[in-house]
Amino acid sequence: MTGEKKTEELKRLLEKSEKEKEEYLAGWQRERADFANYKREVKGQMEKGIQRAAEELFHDWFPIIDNMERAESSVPEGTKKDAVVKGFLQITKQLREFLSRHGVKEVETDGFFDPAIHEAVGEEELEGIEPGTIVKVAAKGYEREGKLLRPAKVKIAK
Amino acid sequence: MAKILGIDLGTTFSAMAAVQGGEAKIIENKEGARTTPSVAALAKNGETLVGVQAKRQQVTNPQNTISQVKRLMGRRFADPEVQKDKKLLPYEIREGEDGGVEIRMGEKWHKPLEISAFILRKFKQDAEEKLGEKITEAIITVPAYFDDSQRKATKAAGEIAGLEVKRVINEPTAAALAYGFDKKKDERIVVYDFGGGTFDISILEVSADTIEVKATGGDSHLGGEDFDQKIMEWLIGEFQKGEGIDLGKDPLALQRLKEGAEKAKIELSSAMETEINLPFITSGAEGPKHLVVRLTRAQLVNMVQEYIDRSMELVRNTLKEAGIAASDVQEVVLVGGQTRMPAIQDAVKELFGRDPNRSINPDEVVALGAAIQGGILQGDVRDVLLLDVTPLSLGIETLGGVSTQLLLKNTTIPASKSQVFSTAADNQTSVEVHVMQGERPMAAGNKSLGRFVLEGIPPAPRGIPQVEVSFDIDANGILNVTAKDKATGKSQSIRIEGSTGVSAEEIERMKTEAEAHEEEDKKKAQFVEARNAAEMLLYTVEKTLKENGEKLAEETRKEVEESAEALKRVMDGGTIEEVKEKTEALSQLLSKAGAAMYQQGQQEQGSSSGSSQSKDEEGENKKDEDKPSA
Repeated sequence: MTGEKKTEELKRLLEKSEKEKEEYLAGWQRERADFANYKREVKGQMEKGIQRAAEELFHDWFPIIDNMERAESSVPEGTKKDAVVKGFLQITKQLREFLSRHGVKEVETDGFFDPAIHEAVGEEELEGIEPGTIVKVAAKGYEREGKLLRPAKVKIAK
Repeated sequence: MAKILGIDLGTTFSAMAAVQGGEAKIIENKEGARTTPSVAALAKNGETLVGVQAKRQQVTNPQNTISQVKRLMGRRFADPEVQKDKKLLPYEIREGEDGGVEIRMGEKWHKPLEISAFILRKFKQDAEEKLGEKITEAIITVPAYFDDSQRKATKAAGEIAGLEVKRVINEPTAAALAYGFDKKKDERIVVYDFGGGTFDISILEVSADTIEVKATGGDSHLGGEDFDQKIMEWLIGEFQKGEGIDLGKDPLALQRLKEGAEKAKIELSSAMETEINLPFITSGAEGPKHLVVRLTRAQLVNMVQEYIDRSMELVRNTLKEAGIAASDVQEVVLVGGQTRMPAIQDAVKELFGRDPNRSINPDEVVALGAAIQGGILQGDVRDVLLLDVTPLSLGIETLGGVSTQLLLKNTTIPASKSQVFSTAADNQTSVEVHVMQGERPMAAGNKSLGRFVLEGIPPAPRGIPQVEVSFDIDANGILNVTAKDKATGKSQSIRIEGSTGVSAEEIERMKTEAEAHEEEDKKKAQFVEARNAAEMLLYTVEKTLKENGEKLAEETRKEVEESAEALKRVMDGGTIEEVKEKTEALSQLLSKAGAAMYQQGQQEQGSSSGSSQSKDEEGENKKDEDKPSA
């Protein structure tokens, strides 16, 4: 009798252990899988983080280049041959080269307004120009590897 | 299981989040931004635009660009709020057949909830793209003062967008959830929400798993944009004073002023002064004009003080209405980008006498809270497996009584780590591993957990044997430390139970002590480091003299010996500077002697080849130091 009882008891214990084993193994596997996925995710996030850091830096560069270009377009015709002016214009060129060297491209502004890459900052009524045509670029837009970093600020025909 | 999207549908900006890997995270939109302007538009080419794209064409298409639609959600056209807003909104609204509001977009009239649905649909699509799975359920937040009709409209907007809205929850409640305050008991929480266009104040009461809104207040037309406007007006005034030109009439200049004003405002949250530098802002009769002005934090505070005062007055009124004193409030939560301004944080702190909670990004905290609510509904946010951490660092004592940490504090356990150490003396045949716990750099300041000796290391010069010391701590905090000689495979270990079982007071004491002694300990550790370097050098000097001493001129040899003696004298009882100085002097002498020897050797080789000295291999255990050296 006691032998039977003991067998019963052991059976019950074994069943319980089996169940627990299954549960723990499943938990462990899940944990390992989670970790593998997490590692992959972290790697992706790191790459994205680096990308984002670069983009943020470019973002702070754009207003500086905007201003250099504003200066460039304000140089009176007569002084363009002046050595100092020429030097400054060369710096502007250098800034633009810096961006293109890092894969930053200017956003296309020929033709019609496209809110996906342009931001409207004003409108103008103009004879003979189709409404929606970009008539002035107030600040250039930039993209890098297909991602828009800043829309071009444009004035369009009404 | 599909994720439940948490959405903060704001007046000017919206954000979304979901629980990923047990944690609420913001989901970026398709354009890669963490927030999306709450704007929808019917473009001139007939396309419906949502978010940043709609905003970008607002200037050219104001009548068909619908922003701030939240102000109209679930309202009746006759409501005084609607009548007031009607004058401010650039698009056309009318009374619908049911007495509600209708908005004109192109030829069609839409209900406000339909406009909101445009934004929500974009969120659903962008989230599906980002997460790579179908999203069908959402939690949407609304201001605590929203009535039943406004909540119903919000819910309906979600359903139109193809989302089953599991719950519509209060924004302040979501913010409290993001901070985990739902676990507090019988506490009062104030949520101070200063957004772009609205200011809301809510008083919450947490009791046994429920968060109840006790009172609300605010101003639906007070926000961060008012601050920007103030700075812009000031800039225009300054420029007018200096140059006599009104920039307010030049749209391109205004655009740059707006950006400059916002940038200055953000910078003044961390800096005390900033420069607004806008060259070529316009041109006058005599050529281009530039704007350069300095703005201090104090000046800015002066400009916007009325807004801050107004918000604090509203806070006091709301407290009064709820019959609660500021001192009865246990937690204050800051929401909305404008709360980054130090003057606002100071004002809040002064009233409540406590630091407000602002560790979570105030632009994202509501969406994160909504995602957490989704997680709770789904059972995602559940502490299934509680993992412990080691409260204090674990390490061993190394040469000179330095504590070398292997497992740093707050390491999640189970964990293991091993490091290879070597002997400190020639022909040292045993190492003692002294296991300790604590943050102090010197072993003497830490708690000893146990020690053991690994014997039978074959005799070898110092630094050659490789003894691998492994720490392994299991989920129950039982620590196994093993030292293994890599050459012979001999190993010895110790099992320490309850290495995490230090009482909370003890942990606190050890941490405070470590902080208190930081400076002194650092100095001590630096001294030991310098002394170890000196010992290393002395060892080299002795070895060189013994092996090649006769090659040196008597004079040089004497000089080196004297310098070595001088170093030995300062090593005990001298200052760190003295030890460093004497070490440096000896090191220079030794290189000089070495160079002389080399030269001599070359000369000798030239005259008589092959007179190299056989190495003296005599073993000598000259030091009683038997700690491993790192």
